[in-house]
Amino acid sequence: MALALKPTISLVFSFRDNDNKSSTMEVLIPGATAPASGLTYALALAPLAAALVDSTLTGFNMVVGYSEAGALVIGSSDVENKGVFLLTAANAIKSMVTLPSPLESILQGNNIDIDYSNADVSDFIDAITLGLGGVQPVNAGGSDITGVYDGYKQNRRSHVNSRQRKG
Amino acid sequence: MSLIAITQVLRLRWRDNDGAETFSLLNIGASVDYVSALSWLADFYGLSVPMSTALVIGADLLVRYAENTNITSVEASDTRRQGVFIFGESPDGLAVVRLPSILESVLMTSGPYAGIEIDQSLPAVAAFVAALTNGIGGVIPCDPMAIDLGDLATAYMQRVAG
Repeated sequence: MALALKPTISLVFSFRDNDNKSSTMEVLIPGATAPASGLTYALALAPLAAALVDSTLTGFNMVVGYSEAGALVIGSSDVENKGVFLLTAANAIKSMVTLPSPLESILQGNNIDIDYSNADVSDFIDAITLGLGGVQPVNAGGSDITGVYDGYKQNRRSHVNSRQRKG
Repeated sequence: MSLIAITQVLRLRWRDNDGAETFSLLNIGASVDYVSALSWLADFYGLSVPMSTALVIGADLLVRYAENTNITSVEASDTRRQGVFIFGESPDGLAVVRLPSILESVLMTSGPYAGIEIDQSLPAVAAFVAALTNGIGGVIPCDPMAIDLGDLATAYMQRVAG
């Protein structure tokens, strides 16, 4: 199993009209483009597109993506069971990160609470709360994540591909 | 009003053996350089995989910009009224870019395609098309197979459902 860079980088521009309906314009650029160059291009294209519409350009995403290049061999799993890590941040606003289909071995005996003493779990939590390579994860408001105040397994609805969903 | 950088998002896309899919999302700062951001994406992948029985089928870095003020669109705006720009020549080389809520003022005003065809002679239209066909700063858009879009074949307004 290995992730490979996608052949294209996606620039997705979001527009909203006066009825609050949203829609997007997607422009692809080659995957080998340096992200900084892609961003420069997106910032240049944005006003050119905005000049042709009467809706509001509310923002854009540049998506640099990787996808699994090998055959998809997936063992027994259920992404609607999630390991939920509730996070605290420097600005006191809480957030979370989820881990789909957690191994039973990272749960405590009650099969619900996440076992922080598990080596893989502690590595994961340390990376999020202490950062890696000088980069500290943040909440959506940009405030540093400072700790995990709860971790448990919970069944949460997933983005389901209905054509492939069994049962 | 202007577009400003907001937090970048690291996204892992998961699939289970029933084909159900979901995401794991983690924010990093807007100012983090891309080398570091992509390195963190690899770390996020490497730290998460050992704890799950599902498969990561993709990993994305989302560099995000958002409008910093709440703007009300004009009453005439309608994202279902879309500008359709089709590029390329051969049937298997066509690519499309859709622009939601295109101005009615950029449509032809006379002739058999009045109100439908986009007037490519207008400077604003020409500038947009040139940015897609010729690129800007050495970056040239492409189709999903990473082939340059090529010349504009046709451009028109289409109303879509939704």
